Amino acid sequence: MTNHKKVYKVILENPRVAEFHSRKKKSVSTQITLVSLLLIGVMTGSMLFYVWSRVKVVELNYAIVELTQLEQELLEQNRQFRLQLAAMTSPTRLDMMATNKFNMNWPTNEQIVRLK
Amino acid sequence: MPPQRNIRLIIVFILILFVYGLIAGRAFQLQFFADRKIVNLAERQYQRMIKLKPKRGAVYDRNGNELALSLDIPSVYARPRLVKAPFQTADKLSRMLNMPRDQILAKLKSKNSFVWLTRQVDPGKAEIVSNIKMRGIGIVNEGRRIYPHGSLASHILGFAGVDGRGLEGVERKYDEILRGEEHSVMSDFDALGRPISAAPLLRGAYTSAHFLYLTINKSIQYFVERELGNAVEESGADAGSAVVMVPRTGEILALANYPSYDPNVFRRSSLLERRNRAVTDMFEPGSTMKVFVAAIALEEKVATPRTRYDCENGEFKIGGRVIREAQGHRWKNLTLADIIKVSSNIGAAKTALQMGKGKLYQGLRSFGFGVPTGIDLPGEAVGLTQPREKWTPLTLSTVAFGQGISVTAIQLVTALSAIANGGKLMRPFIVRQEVDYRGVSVREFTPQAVSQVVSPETAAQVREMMVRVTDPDGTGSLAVIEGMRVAGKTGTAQKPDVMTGGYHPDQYVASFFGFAPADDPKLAVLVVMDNAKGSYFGGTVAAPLFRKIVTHALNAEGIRVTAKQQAPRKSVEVRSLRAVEVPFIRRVGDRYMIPSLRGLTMREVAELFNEVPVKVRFRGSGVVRDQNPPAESMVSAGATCVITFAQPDSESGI
Repeated sequence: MTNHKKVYKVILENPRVAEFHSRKKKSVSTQITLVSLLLIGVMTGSMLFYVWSRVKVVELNYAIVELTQLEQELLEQNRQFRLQLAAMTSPTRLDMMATNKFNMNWPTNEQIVRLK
Repeated sequence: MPPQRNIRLIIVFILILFVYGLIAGRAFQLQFFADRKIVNLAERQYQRMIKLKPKRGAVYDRNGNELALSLDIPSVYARPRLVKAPFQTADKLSRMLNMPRDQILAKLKSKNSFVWLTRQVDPGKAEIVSNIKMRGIGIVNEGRRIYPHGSLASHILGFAGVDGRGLEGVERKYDEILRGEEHSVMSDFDALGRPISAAPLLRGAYTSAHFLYLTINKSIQYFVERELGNAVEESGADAGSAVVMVPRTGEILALANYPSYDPNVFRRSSLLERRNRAVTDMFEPGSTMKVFVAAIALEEKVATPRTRYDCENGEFKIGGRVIREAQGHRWKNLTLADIIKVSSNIGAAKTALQMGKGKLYQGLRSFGFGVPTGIDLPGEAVGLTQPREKWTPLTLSTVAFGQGISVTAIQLVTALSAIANGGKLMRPFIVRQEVDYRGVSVREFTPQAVSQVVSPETAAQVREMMVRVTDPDGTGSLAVIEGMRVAGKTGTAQKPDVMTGGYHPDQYVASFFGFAPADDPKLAVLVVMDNAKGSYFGGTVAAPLFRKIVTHALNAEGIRVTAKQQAPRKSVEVRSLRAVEVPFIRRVGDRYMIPSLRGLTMREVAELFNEVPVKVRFRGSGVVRDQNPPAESMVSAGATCVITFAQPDSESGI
């Protein structure tokens, strides 16, 4: 064994140096664990976020479908009201009401007054 | 911690990490780089192709009043294979739908996988069925065509069947536009079958189906139908038609036939009632044809209005036949203008003979007889004229007074409109605009000039001749409207007997056509009465109806009809009873002082405000109860006064 190897062995066997090395090893493994856990956390978080966003999109789609259906119903109601209005203001009905209920006659030319 | 335990922990940790990595990696791969096969498998689970049937477009009159529109009406269906207890189900449905139990049972026992139990039912009944959930029974909404005014304009509108296809009228002619295109779209559904995407719904709502605006005026159409119906009933005629046209543009303001039908329940009507006679039926026009003979003679410089013709004292022999005047008249010498005024058959025949068959035949074709007018309604007849080669002198003579030639009402009124329009023939049309679901115009149907049939000078001469027809001694005196010059012509034609090849001795088609005001024609109107009993002359049966229609139509179109003589007013009596003095609006500088209007009638207020440039808006009915601005207020020109009316007090009348 050469001198410098002997010196190196002595140093390594020094309890203080050995303790230093052991601490260093522990610290590296802790770091690896922490980084791994962080990685898992980030990945899990990303996946959860992705799933959450998809769920949110589906939820919003349901809401849009619901509102669209409501819009359709309101449009249909509007059509029904317009139909009722058309039926109520039908010239046949108005003519019959004016003649039979209110004893009115069609105006003669002289009775027609035009409004501006 | 012992080193061995530490190593085990690390191994477990690495294993977990590895498995986690595998799962995450696979998830990532599936999500972003999945094989198409897998994607297809997934899509098959939540995607479905659905058919979107657009709601049929509405039809409006020229002022935007709804004439036809579609609503969602529920229909009840069954899937017989899924119905477990058909007897009990039939019992329940029979009560709910008010249908015979056996009829329902037969459908539930059907071997088909799908049957309609009843279509387009009352929504209340459908709701009851839907609330009581029965396996194999379902409700689906279907578009149903509704015509809110019943029979109004039924021959123009036509109708659409249960499957939403147009079967008659505008509904048929413009079926593709009104129906739109059916789309198939892929849509996402969840495990419960609920839609996840709104896109198909939106596309279902905002469809390619378009809306149509017609040239028809609802008010005029109603009046024409009502009066035509009354006239047909009173005269005992078999049927009648009336057409109101704007000569300058060719727009049809009203087109009515009687008898008529309600398109909401078109199955209850007969083919006879559904026939659009004005467009599909041909008839011999009679003396109305003389107008066109005169126009062609003038245009060809064969005659002038003052050219005289020997009318043979009422009997004219030609081609082995004798032509006589109507009502046994015996005219001797008549000018061309007089021939039109008194409607001389022999005079018209002699004019035609002088012209020759070539000119008359070509002239009549130019006026549109024997060719379709091109009106946008289905089933138009072209009319019948013998080929020119076959025309004998007798044919020439009879065609001149409307025998031996068949025309449709629409051809006749279109040709008349050419005279009213300075000789320019316009294509008649019913649809003026096509708009999409947002109300944006897709297509405007503009007036189309077909040809210049006669010169404006000739048209003016014919117009003057037609005005004389409505003179007190003319054949159309009953068409006169007080305070207005009216141009017209009567027509009375014997009906051809298809069995004998001759003419019915006692069946006539009476007609009257004309336009008003004669000096600036706004409307051209034709009235045709088929086989009127009693008096059957066009001048007595059709002319009075013409007068009523023109008067109403001009009023409805905002054209003032002023009478020479003022009829006694009912309002005068009312005024004296109420003892209310009508005030006047005083001008002070450039402003106006509004007096107290309390107790005045609507007519009195309207007349008062017509004198000044102040607008007025009415609320309620009866006599004036309130006014804003109040009495004695000063207002500027262009201001609006709101007048509130209420029923008058029984004692004071105010």
